[in-house]
Amino acid sequence: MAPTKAQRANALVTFYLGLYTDRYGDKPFGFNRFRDRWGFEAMIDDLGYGLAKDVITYYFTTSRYGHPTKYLLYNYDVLNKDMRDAAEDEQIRIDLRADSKARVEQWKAEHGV
Amino acid sequence: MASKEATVLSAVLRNKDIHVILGESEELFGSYQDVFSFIKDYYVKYKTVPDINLIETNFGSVEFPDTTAATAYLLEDLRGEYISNRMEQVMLKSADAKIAGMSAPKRLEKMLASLSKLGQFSSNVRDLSLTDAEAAAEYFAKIKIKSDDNGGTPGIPTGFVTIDSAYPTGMAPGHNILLMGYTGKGKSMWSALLGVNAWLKGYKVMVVSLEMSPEEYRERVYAMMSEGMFNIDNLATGEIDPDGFRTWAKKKFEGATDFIVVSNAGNTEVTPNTVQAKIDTYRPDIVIMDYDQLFSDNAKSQNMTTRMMNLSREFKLMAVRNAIPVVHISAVTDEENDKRDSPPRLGQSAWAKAIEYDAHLVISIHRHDDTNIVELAGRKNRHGPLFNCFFKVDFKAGVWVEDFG
Repeated sequence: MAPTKAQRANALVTFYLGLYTDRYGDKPFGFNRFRDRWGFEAMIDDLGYGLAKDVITYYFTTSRYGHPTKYLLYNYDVLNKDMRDAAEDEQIRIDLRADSKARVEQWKAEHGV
Repeated sequence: MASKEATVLSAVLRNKDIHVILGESEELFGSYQDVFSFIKDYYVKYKTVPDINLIETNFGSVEFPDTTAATAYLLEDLRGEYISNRMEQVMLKSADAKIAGMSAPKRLEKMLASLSKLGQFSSNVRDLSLTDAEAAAEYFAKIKIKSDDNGGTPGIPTGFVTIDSAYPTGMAPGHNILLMGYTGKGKSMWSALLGVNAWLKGYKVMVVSLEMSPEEYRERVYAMMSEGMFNIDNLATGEIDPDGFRTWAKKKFEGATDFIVVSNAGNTEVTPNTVQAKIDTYRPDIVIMDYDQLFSDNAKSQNMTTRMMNLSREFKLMAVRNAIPVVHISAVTDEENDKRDSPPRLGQSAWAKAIEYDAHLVISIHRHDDTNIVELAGRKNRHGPLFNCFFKVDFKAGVWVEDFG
Protein backbone atom coordinates (compact mmCIF):
# COMPACT_ATOMS: atom_id res chain seq x y z
CA MET A 1 0.00 0.00 0.00
CA ALA A 2 1.35 3.43 -0.93
CA PRO A 3 2.33 5.65 2.00
CA THR A 4 -0.15 8.34 2.98
CA LYS A 5 0.56 12.03 2.56
CA ALA A 6 1.19 12.35 6.30
CA GLN A 7 3.59 9.40 6.29
CA ARG A 8 5.61 10.87 3.43
CA ALA A 9 5.73 14.27 5.18
CA ASN A 10 6.94 12.54 8.35
CA ALA A 11 9.60 10.69 6.36
CA LEU A 12 10.77 14.00 4.87
CA VAL A 13 10.89 15.60 8.33
CA THR A 14 13.01 12.68 9.53
CA PHE A 15 15.30 13.09 6.51
CA TYR A 16 15.70 16.82 7.23
CA LEU A 17 16.36 16.22 10.94
CA GLY A 18 18.95 13.57 10.05
CA LEU A 19 20.95 16.00 7.90
CA TYR A 20 20.54 18.76 10.48
CA THR A 21 21.76 16.55 13.30
CA ASP A 22 24.73 15.37 11.20
CA ARG A 23 25.69 18.98 10.70
CA TYR A 24 24.97 20.53 14.10
CA GLY A 25 24.90 17.53 16.47
CA ASP A 26 21.34 18.16 17.65
CA LYS A 27 17.81 18.84 16.42
CA PRO A 28 16.96 22.46 15.51
CA PHE A 29 16.03 24.47 18.60
CA GLY A 30 12.25 24.86 18.92
CA PHE A 31 11.47 22.29 16.25
CA ASN A 32 7.88 20.99 16.47
CA ARG A 33 7.25 17.98 14.26
CA PHE A 34 3.45 18.37 14.43
CA ARG A 35 3.45 22.04 13.44
CA ASP A 36 6.32 21.96 10.92
CA ARG A 37 5.06 18.80 9.21
CA TRP A 38 2.54 20.93 7.27
CA GLY A 39 5.34 22.88 5.62
CA PHE A 40 7.04 19.66 4.57
CA GLU A 41 3.72 18.38 3.25
CA ALA A 42 3.37 21.53 1.10
CA MET A 43 6.89 20.98 -0.13
CA ILE A 44 5.99 17.46 -1.29
CA ASP A 45 2.82 18.80 -2.93
CA ASP A 46 4.81 21.36 -4.93
CA LEU A 47 8.00 19.49 -5.72
CA GLY A 48 7.23 15.82 -5.30
CA TYR A 49 8.93 13.67 -2.67
CA GLY A 50 12.16 12.94 -4.59
CA LEU A 51 12.85 16.55 -5.58
CA ALA A 52 11.96 17.77 -2.08
CA LYS A 53 14.68 15.46 -0.70
CA ASP A 54 17.17 16.80 -3.26
CA VAL A 55 16.34 20.39 -2.29
CA ILE A 56 16.88 19.60 1.40
CA THR A 57 20.22 17.96 0.58
CA TYR A 58 21.17 21.03 -1.51
CA TYR A 59 20.11 23.34 1.33
CA PHE A 60 22.83 21.86 3.53
CA THR A 61 25.51 22.54 0.89
CA THR A 62 24.73 26.27 0.97
CA SER A 63 26.26 28.76 3.36
CA ARG A 64 22.91 29.78 4.89
CA TYR A 65 23.75 30.39 8.53
CA GLY A 66 22.18 27.83 10.87
CA HIS A 67 20.06 26.28 8.07
CA PRO A 68 16.82 27.26 9.82
CA THR A 69 13.72 25.16 9.16
CA LYS A 70 11.61 28.26 8.60
CA TYR A 71 13.88 29.50 5.80
CA LEU A 72 13.67 26.13 4.06
CA LEU A 73 9.89 25.96 4.28
CA TYR A 74 9.38 29.55 3.12
CA ASN A 75 11.94 29.41 0.28
CA TYR A 76 12.09 25.87 -1.09
CA ASP A 77 11.01 27.18 -4.50
CA VAL A 78 13.96 29.61 -4.57
CA LEU A 79 16.31 26.90 -3.34
CA ASN A 80 15.02 24.60 -6.05
CA LYS A 81 15.83 27.21 -8.71
CA ASP A 82 19.28 27.83 -7.25
CA MET A 83 19.91 24.10 -7.14
CA ARG A 84 18.99 23.79 -10.82
CA ASP A 85 21.22 26.75 -11.74
CA ALA A 86 24.10 25.20 -9.80
CA ALA A 87 23.59 21.84 -11.51
CA GLU A 88 23.43 23.52 -14.90
CA ASP A 89 26.65 25.41 -14.14
CA GLU A 90 28.30 22.20 -13.01
CA GLN A 91 27.41 20.49 -16.30
CA ILE A 92 28.69 23.48 -18.28
CA ARG A 93 31.98 23.29 -16.41
CA ILE A 94 32.28 19.56 -17.04
CA ASP A 95 31.71 20.15 -20.76
CA LEU A 96 34.18 23.03 -20.83
CA ARG A 97 36.74 20.84 -19.09
CA ALA A 98 36.38 18.22 -21.82
CA ASP A 99 36.70 20.92 -24.52
CA SER A 100 39.71 22.39 -22.75
CA LYS A 101 41.38 19.01 -22.51
CA ALA A 102 41.03 18.47 -26.26
CA ARG A 103 42.23 21.99 -27.03
CA VAL A 104 45.25 21.60 -24.76
CA GLU A 105 46.24 18.35 -26.49
CA GLN A 106 45.96 20.03 -29.87
CA TRP A 107 47.89 23.06 -28.64
CA LYS A 108 50.65 20.87 -27.22
CA ALA A 109 50.93 18.97 -30.49
CA GLU A 110 51.13 22.23 -32.46
CA HIS A 111 53.70 23.74 -30.12
CA GLY A 112 55.74 20.57 -29.70
CA VAL A 113 55.26 20.51 -25.93
CA MET B 1 50.08 89.51 -25.12
CA ALA B 2 47.14 87.15 -25.43
CA SER B 3 47.06 84.10 -23.21
CA LYS B 4 47.57 80.60 -24.61
CA GLU B 5 44.04 79.63 -23.54
CA ALA B 6 42.55 82.48 -25.58
CA THR B 7 44.78 81.62 -28.55
CA VAL B 8 43.55 77.98 -28.58
CA LEU B 9 39.92 79.07 -28.38
CA SER B 10 40.51 81.66 -31.07
CA ALA B 11 41.98 78.97 -33.36
CA VAL B 12 38.96 76.75 -32.74
CA LEU B 13 36.59 79.58 -33.60
CA ARG B 14 38.48 80.41 -36.79
CA ASN B 15 39.36 76.87 -37.96
CA LYS B 16 36.00 75.43 -36.83
CA ASP B 17 37.79 72.26 -35.65
CA ILE B 18 36.13 71.89 -32.26
CA HIS B 19 36.77 68.12 -32.21
CA VAL B 20 40.36 68.90 -31.21
CA ILE B 21 39.26 70.30 -27.84
CA LEU B 22 35.97 68.48 -27.22
CA GLY B 23 37.53 65.85 -24.97
CA GLU B 24 39.59 68.33 -22.96
CA SER B 25 39.05 69.15 -19.32
CA GLU B 26 37.68 72.60 -18.45
CA GLU B 27 40.53 72.96 -16.02
CA LEU B 28 42.99 73.36 -18.86
CA PHE B 29 41.38 76.63 -19.93
CA GLY B 30 41.94 78.40 -16.61
CA SER B 31 40.12 81.73 -16.51
CA TYR B 32 38.55 80.95 -19.92
CA GLN B 33 36.59 77.95 -18.62
CA ASP B 34 33.26 79.74 -19.11
CA VAL B 35 34.12 80.54 -22.74
CA PHE B 36 35.23 76.96 -23.36
CA SER B 37 31.98 75.63 -21.84
CA PHE B 38 29.90 78.06 -23.87
CA ILE B 39 31.54 77.02 -27.17
CA LYS B 40 31.19 73.35 -26.31
CA ASP B 41 27.53 73.64 -25.21
CA TYR B 42 26.69 75.72 -28.27
CA TYR B 43 28.21 73.09 -30.52
CA VAL B 44 26.39 70.26 -28.77
CA LYS B 45 23.08 72.11 -29.09
CA TYR B 46 23.33 73.61 -32.60
CA LYS B 47 25.92 71.32 -34.23
CA THR B 48 28.02 74.23 -35.35
CA VAL B 49 30.90 76.25 -33.91
CA PRO B 50 29.68 79.72 -32.86
CA ASP B 51 30.82 82.80 -34.70
CA ILE B 52 33.66 84.71 -33.07
CA ASN B 53 31.50 87.86 -32.97
CA LEU B 54 28.93 86.06 -30.85
CA ILE B 55 31.60 85.12 -28.31
CA GLU B 56 32.95 88.64 -28.26
CA THR B 57 29.44 89.98 -27.67
CA ASN B 58 28.75 87.53 -24.86
CA PHE B 59 32.16 87.79 -23.23
CA GLY B 60 32.97 91.45 -23.86
CA SER B 61 36.26 91.59 -22.08
CA VAL B 62 37.82 88.61 -23.86
CA GLU B 63 40.35 89.21 -26.61
CA PHE B 64 40.81 86.61 -29.32
CA PRO B 65 44.12 87.04 -31.09
CA ASP B 66 44.48 86.42 -34.81
CA THR B 67 46.15 83.12 -35.42
CA THR B 68 46.83 80.92 -38.42
CA ALA B 69 48.46 78.09 -36.46
CA ALA B 70 46.86 74.63 -36.28
CA THR B 71 44.59 74.20 -33.26
CA ALA B 72 46.26 70.90 -32.33
CA TYR B 73 49.66 72.57 -32.18
CA LEU B 74 48.38 75.39 -29.98
CA LEU B 75 46.58 72.92 -27.71
CA GLU B 76 49.79 70.92 -27.25
CA ASP B 77 51.57 74.13 -26.33
CA LEU B 78 48.86 75.03 -23.82
CA ARG B 79 49.05 71.57 -22.26
CA GLY B 80 52.80 71.89 -21.83
CA GLU B 81 52.41 75.21 -20.07
CA TYR B 82 49.59 73.89 -17.90
CA ILE B 83 51.56 70.82 -16.78
CA SER B 84 54.61 72.93 -16.03
CA ASN B 85 52.58 75.42 -13.95
CA ARG B 86 50.75 72.69 -12.08
CA MET B 87 54.00 70.89 -11.27
CA GLU B 88 55.39 74.10 -9.84
CA GLN B 89 52.23 74.53 -7.72
CA VAL B 90 52.49 70.96 -6.44
CA MET B 91 56.11 71.53 -5.39
CA LEU B 92 55.27 74.83 -3.70
CA LYS B 93 52.32 73.30 -1.88
CA SER B 94 54.53 70.49 -0.67
CA ALA B 95 57.07 73.01 0.60
CA ASP B 96 54.30 74.90 2.41
CA ALA B 97 53.04 71.66 3.92
CA LYS B 98 56.54 70.92 5.19
CA ILE B 99 56.67 74.31 6.90
CA ALA B 100 53.21 73.61 8.36
CA GLY B 101 54.61 70.40 9.86
CA MET B 102 52.98 67.76 7.66
CA SER B 103 54.84 64.44 7.77
CA ALA B 104 57.02 63.46 4.80
CA PRO B 105 55.02 60.29 3.90
CA LYS B 106 51.77 62.27 3.91
CA ARG B 107 53.31 64.97 1.72
CA LEU B 108 54.68 62.36 -0.65
CA GLU B 109 51.26 60.73 -0.89
CA LYS B 110 49.64 64.06 -1.71
CA MET B 111 52.31 64.91 -4.26
CA LEU B 112 52.02 61.55 -6.00
CA ALA B 113 48.24 61.88 -6.19
CA SER B 114 48.48 65.39 -7.65
CA LEU B 115 51.19 64.47 -10.16
CA SER B 116 49.31 61.36 -11.28
CA LYS B 117 46.24 63.47 -12.01
CA LEU B 118 48.38 65.48 -14.39
CA GLY B 119 48.82 62.34 -16.49
CA GLN B 120 45.48 63.00 -18.18
CA PHE B 121 46.91 66.17 -19.72
CA SER B 122 49.93 64.44 -21.22
CA SER B 123 47.97 61.86 -23.16
CA ASN B 124 45.53 62.12 -26.01
CA VAL B 125 42.51 60.22 -27.16
CA ARG B 126 43.98 57.95 -29.82
CA ASP B 127 42.39 57.97 -33.27
CA LEU B 128 42.89 55.28 -35.83
CA SER B 129 42.09 55.46 -39.53
CA LEU B 130 40.77 52.11 -40.70
CA THR B 131 41.46 52.93 -44.34
CA ASP B 132 45.20 53.40 -43.72
CA ALA B 133 46.22 49.90 -44.85
CA GLU B 134 49.94 50.68 -44.76
CA ALA B 135 49.84 51.62 -41.08
CA ALA B 136 47.79 48.50 -40.37
CA ALA B 137 50.26 46.25 -42.21
CA GLU B 138 53.13 47.80 -40.24
CA TYR B 139 51.25 47.17 -37.00
CA PHE B 140 50.55 43.53 -37.93
CA ALA B 141 54.23 42.98 -38.71
CA LYS B 142 55.18 44.31 -35.27
CA ILE B 143 52.58 42.10 -33.60
CA LYS B 144 53.89 39.07 -35.50
CA ILE B 145 57.44 39.67 -34.26
CA LYS B 146 56.18 40.01 -30.69
CA SER B 147 54.01 36.94 -31.07
CA ASP B 148 56.89 34.84 -32.41
CA ASP B 149 59.02 35.96 -29.47
CA ASN B 150 56.36 34.81 -27.02
CA GLY B 151 55.75 31.42 -28.61
CA GLY B 152 52.56 32.37 -30.42
CA THR B 153 50.90 35.13 -28.38
CA PRO B 154 51.46 38.88 -28.76
CA GLY B 155 50.77 39.45 -25.06
CA ILE B 156 52.32 37.81 -22.03
CA PRO B 157 51.50 34.08 -21.89
CA THR B 158 49.92 33.01 -18.61
CA GLY B 159 52.07 29.88 -18.47
CA PHE B 160 48.96 27.71 -18.06
CA VAL B 161 48.27 25.70 -21.20
CA THR B 162 44.52 25.64 -20.54
CA ILE B 163 44.35 29.44 -20.67
CA ASP B 164 47.04 30.06 -23.27
CA SER B 165 45.33 27.69 -25.71
CA ALA B 166 42.02 29.59 -25.27
CA TYR B 167 43.35 33.15 -24.98
CA PRO B 168 45.33 33.67 -28.17
CA THR B 169 46.24 37.29 -27.47
CA GLY B 170 47.90 36.44 -24.15
CA MET B 171 47.79 39.13 -21.47
CA ALA B 172 48.19 41.95 -23.95
CA PRO B 173 48.70 45.70 -23.40
CA GLY B 174 45.48 47.31 -22.20
CA HIS B 175 43.91 44.06 -21.03
CA ASN B 176 41.94 44.15 -17.82
CA ILE B 177 41.92 40.69 -16.23
CA LEU B 178 39.75 39.83 -13.25
CA LEU B 179 40.30 36.92 -10.88
CA MET B 180 37.43 36.19 -8.54
CA GLY B 181 36.82 33.74 -5.75
CA TYR B 182 35.55 33.18 -2.23
CA THR B 183 37.85 34.10 0.59
CA GLY B 184 40.60 31.58 1.34
CA LYS B 185 40.03 29.59 -1.84
CA GLY B 186 43.37 30.11 -3.59
CA LYS B 187 42.95 33.25 -5.69
CA SER B 188 45.88 35.21 -4.21
CA MET B 189 48.15 32.21 -4.45
CA TRP B 190 47.21 31.52 -8.05
CA SER B 191 47.74 35.17 -8.97
CA ALA B 192 51.23 34.97 -7.44
CA LEU B 193 51.92 31.97 -9.66
CA LEU B 194 50.69 33.97 -12.66
CA GLY B 195 53.25 36.64 -11.71
CA VAL B 196 56.00 34.05 -11.33
CA ASN B 197 55.22 32.59 -14.76
CA ALA B 198 55.43 36.05 -16.36
CA TRP B 199 58.69 36.75 -14.52
CA LEU B 200 60.18 33.42 -15.68
CA LYS B 201 59.48 34.57 -19.25
CA GLY B 202 61.53 37.70 -18.60
CA TYR B 203 58.75 40.21 -17.85
CA LYS B 204 58.99 42.74 -15.07
CA VAL B 205 56.17 42.07 -12.61
CA MET B 206 54.75 44.48 -10.05
CA VAL B 207 52.36 43.13 -7.41
CA VAL B 208 50.37 45.51 -5.22
CA SER B 209 49.48 43.36 -2.25
CA LEU B 210 47.18 44.98 0.27
CA GLU B 211 46.20 41.68 1.82
CA MET B 212 49.52 40.40 3.07
CA SER B 213 52.88 41.81 4.03
CA PRO B 214 55.58 41.95 1.35
CA GLU B 215 57.61 39.41 3.35
CA GLU B 216 54.71 36.98 3.40
CA TYR B 217 54.23 37.46 -0.32
CA ARG B 218 57.93 36.92 -0.91
CA GLU B 219 57.79 33.57 0.89
CA ARG B 220 55.03 32.38 -1.41
CA VAL B 221 56.86 33.57 -4.48
CA TYR B 222 60.18 32.01 -3.41
CA ALA B 223 58.43 28.68 -2.78
CA MET B 224 56.94 28.83 -6.28
CA MET B 225 60.15 29.98 -7.94
CA SER B 226 62.11 27.20 -6.24
CA GLU B 227 59.51 24.62 -7.34
CA GLY B 228 59.45 22.99 -3.93
CA MET B 229 63.08 23.41 -2.93
CA PHE B 230 61.95 25.77 -0.16
CA ASN B 231 58.52 25.28 1.32
CA ILE B 232 56.36 28.12 2.59
CA ASP B 233 56.39 27.00 6.23
CA ASN B 234 60.17 26.73 6.36
CA LEU B 235 60.56 30.13 4.76
CA ALA B 236 58.05 31.62 7.19
CA THR B 237 59.92 30.25 10.21
CA GLY B 238 63.37 30.92 8.77
CA GLU B 239 64.28 27.25 8.90
CA ILE B 240 66.34 27.15 5.75
CA ASP B 241 70.01 26.64 5.07
CA PRO B 242 71.21 30.22 4.46
CA ASP B 243 74.09 29.14 2.20
CA GLY B 244 71.84 26.88 0.18
CA PHE B 245 69.38 29.74 -0.16
CA ARG B 246 72.06 32.21 -1.26
CA THR B 247 73.39 29.77 -3.86
CA TRP B 248 69.90 29.20 -5.22
CA ALA B 249 69.07 32.93 -5.23
CA LYS B 250 72.31 33.86 -6.98
CA LYS B 251 71.62 31.38 -9.74
CA LYS B 252 67.96 32.36 -10.00
CA PHE B 253 68.26 36.14 -9.89
CA GLU B 254 71.48 36.77 -11.75
CA GLY B 255 70.63 38.90 -14.77
CA ALA B 256 66.90 38.49 -14.09
CA THR B 257 64.35 41.27 -14.46
CA ASP B 258 62.87 42.72 -11.30
CA PHE B 259 59.85 41.37 -9.41
CA ILE B 260 58.43 44.17 -7.26
CA VAL B 261 56.00 43.77 -4.38
CA VAL B 262 54.30 46.96 -3.23
CA SER B 263 52.44 46.98 0.06
CA ASN B 264 50.84 49.65 2.19
CA ALA B 265 51.60 47.61 5.31
CA GLY B 266 48.02 48.33 6.35
CA ASN B 267 48.79 52.01 6.91
CA THR B 268 47.54 54.20 4.12
CA GLU B 269 44.79 54.13 1.57
CA VAL B 270 45.99 52.93 -1.81
CA THR B 271 44.29 54.39 -4.87
CA PRO B 272 44.86 53.87 -8.60
CA ASN B 273 46.81 57.16 -8.49
CA THR B 274 49.19 55.61 -5.95
CA VAL B 275 49.58 52.56 -8.19
CA GLN B 276 50.16 54.83 -11.19
CA ALA B 277 53.00 56.54 -9.33
CA LYS B 278 54.55 53.12 -8.68
CA ILE B 279 54.12 52.21 -12.35
CA ASP B 280 55.90 55.44 -13.28
CA THR B 281 58.70 54.49 -10.89
CA TYR B 282 59.19 50.83 -11.81
CA ARG B 283 57.83 50.63 -15.39
CA PRO B 284 56.52 47.05 -15.02
CA ASP B 285 55.33 44.89 -17.92
CA ILE B 286 52.38 43.61 -15.89
CA VAL B 287 50.63 44.72 -12.69
CA ILE B 288 48.79 42.39 -10.30
CA MET B 289 46.56 43.91 -7.61
CA ASP B 290 45.35 41.99 -4.59
CA TYR B 291 42.50 42.78 -3.92
CA ASP B 292 39.91 45.31 -5.22
CA GLN B 293 37.87 45.72 -2.06
CA LEU B 294 40.97 46.88 -0.13
CA PHE B 295 41.70 49.70 -2.59
CA SER B 296 40.16 53.18 -2.56
CA ASP B 297 39.14 54.86 -5.78
CA ASN B 298 40.84 58.14 -6.72
CA ALA B 299 37.92 60.14 -5.35
CA LYS B 300 38.10 58.12 -2.09
CA SER B 301 34.37 57.42 -2.25
CA GLN B 302 32.83 56.10 0.95
CA ASN B 303 29.96 54.29 -0.73
CA MET B 304 31.25 50.83 -1.66
CA THR B 305 29.24 50.46 -4.87
CA THR B 306 30.44 53.83 -6.16
CA ARG B 307 33.95 53.01 -5.08
CA MET B 308 33.98 49.69 -6.91
CA MET B 309 32.45 51.17 -10.06
CA ASN B 310 35.08 53.92 -10.12
CA LEU B 311 37.89 51.50 -9.35
CA SER B 312 36.87 49.22 -12.16
CA ARG B 313 37.01 52.09 -14.64
CA GLU B 314 40.26 53.43 -13.20
CA PHE B 315 41.97 50.02 -13.43
CA LYS B 316 40.82 49.68 -17.00
CA LEU B 317 42.15 53.12 -17.92
CA MET B 318 45.38 52.31 -16.11
CA ALA B 319 45.86 49.26 -18.36
CA VAL B 320 45.16 51.27 -21.50
CA ARG B 321 47.15 54.37 -20.55
CA ASN B 322 50.25 52.39 -19.61
CA ALA B 323 49.82 49.82 -22.39
CA ILE B 324 50.27 46.93 -19.97
CA PRO B 325 47.94 44.16 -18.77
CA VAL B 326 46.41 44.74 -15.36
CA VAL B 327 45.31 41.76 -13.30
CA HIS B 328 43.12 42.39 -10.27
CA ILE B 329 41.39 40.20 -7.75
CA SER B 330 37.86 40.62 -6.48
CA ALA B 331 36.16 39.05 -3.52
CA VAL B 332 32.69 37.72 -4.28
CA THR B 333 29.36 38.27 -2.64
CA ASP B 334 28.49 35.22 -0.66
CA GLU B 335 24.90 34.56 -1.66
CA GLU B 336 23.54 32.42 1.12
CA ASN B 337 21.58 30.24 -1.25
CA ASP B 338 24.60 29.47 -3.36
CA LYS B 339 26.38 26.23 -3.20
CA ARG B 340 29.61 27.35 -1.65
CA ASP B 341 31.76 24.50 -2.89
CA SER B 342 31.93 25.56 -6.53
CA PRO B 343 33.59 28.43 -8.41
CA PRO B 344 31.58 31.67 -8.20
CA ARG B 345 29.62 32.69 -11.25
CA LEU B 346 29.44 35.99 -13.11
CA GLY B 347 27.34 38.44 -11.18
CA GLN B 348 28.88 37.57 -7.85
CA SER B 349 31.78 40.05 -7.83
CA ALA B 350 31.33 42.03 -4.64
CA TRP B 351 29.58 45.41 -4.75
CA ALA B 352 29.57 46.22 -8.46
CA LYS B 353 28.96 44.18 -11.56
CA ALA B 354 30.89 46.84 -13.53
CA ILE B 355 34.02 44.98 -12.42
CA GLU B 356 33.01 42.09 -14.67
CA TYR B 357 31.69 44.22 -17.54
CA ASP B 358 34.99 46.08 -17.81
CA ALA B 359 37.14 42.95 -17.89
CA HIS B 360 38.56 41.23 -20.98
CA LEU B 361 38.99 37.98 -19.12
CA VAL B 362 37.26 36.78 -15.94
CA ILE B 363 38.59 33.71 -14.16
CA SER B 364 36.92 32.14 -11.18
CA ILE B 365 39.25 30.28 -8.82
CA HIS B 366 38.02 27.78 -6.29
CA ARG B 367 39.70 25.32 -3.98
CA HIS B 368 37.28 22.46 -3.37
CA ASP B 369 36.54 21.84 0.30
CA ASP B 370 38.99 19.61 2.17
CA THR B 371 41.02 18.77 -0.94
CA ASN B 372 44.17 19.95 -2.67
CA ILE B 373 42.17 20.44 -5.87
CA VAL B 374 41.73 23.96 -7.22
CA GLU B 375 39.30 24.53 -10.06
CA LEU B 376 39.89 27.28 -12.59
CA ALA B 377 36.74 28.33 -14.44
CA GLY B 378 36.88 30.80 -17.32
CA ARG B 379 33.73 32.91 -16.87
CA LYS B 380 34.28 35.51 -19.60
CA ASN B 381 36.75 35.59 -22.46
CA ARG B 382 36.58 38.36 -25.06
CA HIS B 383 39.28 36.73 -27.16
CA GLY B 384 38.38 33.07 -27.30
CA PRO B 385 36.35 30.21 -25.85
CA LEU B 386 35.67 29.63 -22.18
CA PHE B 387 37.80 27.03 -20.42
CA ASN B 388 37.98 24.92 -17.29
CA CYS B 389 40.59 22.80 -15.59
CA PHE B 390 41.69 21.47 -12.21
CA PHE B 391 45.02 21.94 -10.52
CA LYS B 392 46.51 19.43 -8.14
CA VAL B 393 48.30 21.62 -5.67
CA ASP B 394 51.04 21.13 -3.13
CA PHE B 395 50.31 24.32 -1.18
CA LYS B 396 53.37 24.13 1.05
CA ALA B 397 55.75 23.66 -1.84
CA GLY B 398 53.87 26.06 -4.11
CA VAL B 399 53.66 23.48 -6.89
CA TRP B 400 50.55 23.54 -9.13
CA VAL B 401 49.94 20.88 -11.78
CA GLU B 402 47.18 21.26 -14.40
CA ASP B 403 44.80 18.36 -14.53
CA PHE B 404 41.46 17.57 -16.16
CA GLY B 405 40.13 15.09 -13.63
